[in-house]
Amino acid sequence: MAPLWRNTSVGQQRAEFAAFYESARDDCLRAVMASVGNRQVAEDAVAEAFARAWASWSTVARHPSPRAWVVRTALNTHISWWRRRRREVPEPAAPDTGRDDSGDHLPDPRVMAALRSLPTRQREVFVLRVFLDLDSDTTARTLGIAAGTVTTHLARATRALRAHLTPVTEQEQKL
Amino acid sequence: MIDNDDDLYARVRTEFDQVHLQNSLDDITGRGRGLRRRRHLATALGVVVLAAGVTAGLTVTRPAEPEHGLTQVAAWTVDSRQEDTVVFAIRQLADADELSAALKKAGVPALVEFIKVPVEQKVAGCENGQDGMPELYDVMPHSNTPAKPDENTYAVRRDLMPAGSVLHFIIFEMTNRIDGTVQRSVHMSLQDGDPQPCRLYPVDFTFPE
Repeated sequence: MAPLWRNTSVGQQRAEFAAFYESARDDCLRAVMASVGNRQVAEDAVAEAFARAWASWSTVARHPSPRAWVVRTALNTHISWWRRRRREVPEPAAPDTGRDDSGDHLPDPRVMAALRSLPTRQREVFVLRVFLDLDSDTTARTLGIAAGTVTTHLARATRALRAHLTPVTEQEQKL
Repeated sequence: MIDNDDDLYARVRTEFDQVHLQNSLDDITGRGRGLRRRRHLATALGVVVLAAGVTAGLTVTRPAEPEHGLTQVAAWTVDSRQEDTVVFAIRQLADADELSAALKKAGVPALVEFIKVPVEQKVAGCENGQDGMPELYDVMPHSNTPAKPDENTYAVRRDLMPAGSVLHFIIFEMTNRIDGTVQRSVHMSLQDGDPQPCRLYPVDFTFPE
């Protein structure tokens, strides 16, 4: 009977992971894409992070926020990618514009530019709070910083983004 | 005009509405299985090497049990009195090797480096930077807890460090050429095995455009 029990358990795990993947895949990609600024790089990193999540699903499933785990791992994968290439400071990959090969519409380049203008930590805080809807404590634990620092980073990021995006909106209204 | 924060967040979120991850579930789980296989293979190889060592009559030493206590010198403190967490505080960038040894004694294998970056250095960082393990974010959930103005405190969950992993902890100290102020930045990574000591970039190195 042991093999049957094991198969059932694996089947349950796969079903759980499938549900998680279905509900989290787009949000995680959007969060990572907003952080790294490039669709292809983000997609590679997020797919790798989900694969790692499945490889360690019994552990990741118990994480306070598996989606945050995936995003954090994807961002770390991205960092590993540029470290392997001996680049100490991550330069944003070439920005995307318009439409990509998958046929998806890409975000407004002005929004992408505004996000890229944020310091890395502010951008990471922003994407976790806005795209994953994490609270301050979970964001803090995910990034390894204090909860108060999360609040400060989010406030600064919000202020900077508003400054970048508001003038454009106002110009559009005048036209 | 974007009147409030929620409107701003909604504006940014909306821009990404059409972005979807294309990979199928089978693709992801297939890659995950590959990762598991590689992990099991590495474990199996380790067992084979260990068995070979025992057969050859080698003495296999178990890692020493971590000590619980407080080590304090002028430059830093290592506090391992808690069960699973080791807290270290740095006041001066001195005695890095002794700090590495104290952390190891406390159950945290670590390579600590304090590096003064030359004023003329254009890029502060390690030319030979290595991939880090993502478990760092569990091992050091809070990167820095400011305790006192002249002291930075770091907590390490030694119980969550994967077997064979070593913490690489570097503080770079840079003097601003223009105003003479001293700035520090911390690099932390978790390495699978011994980290390579940091080798700074050449002084005039800059990143290619």
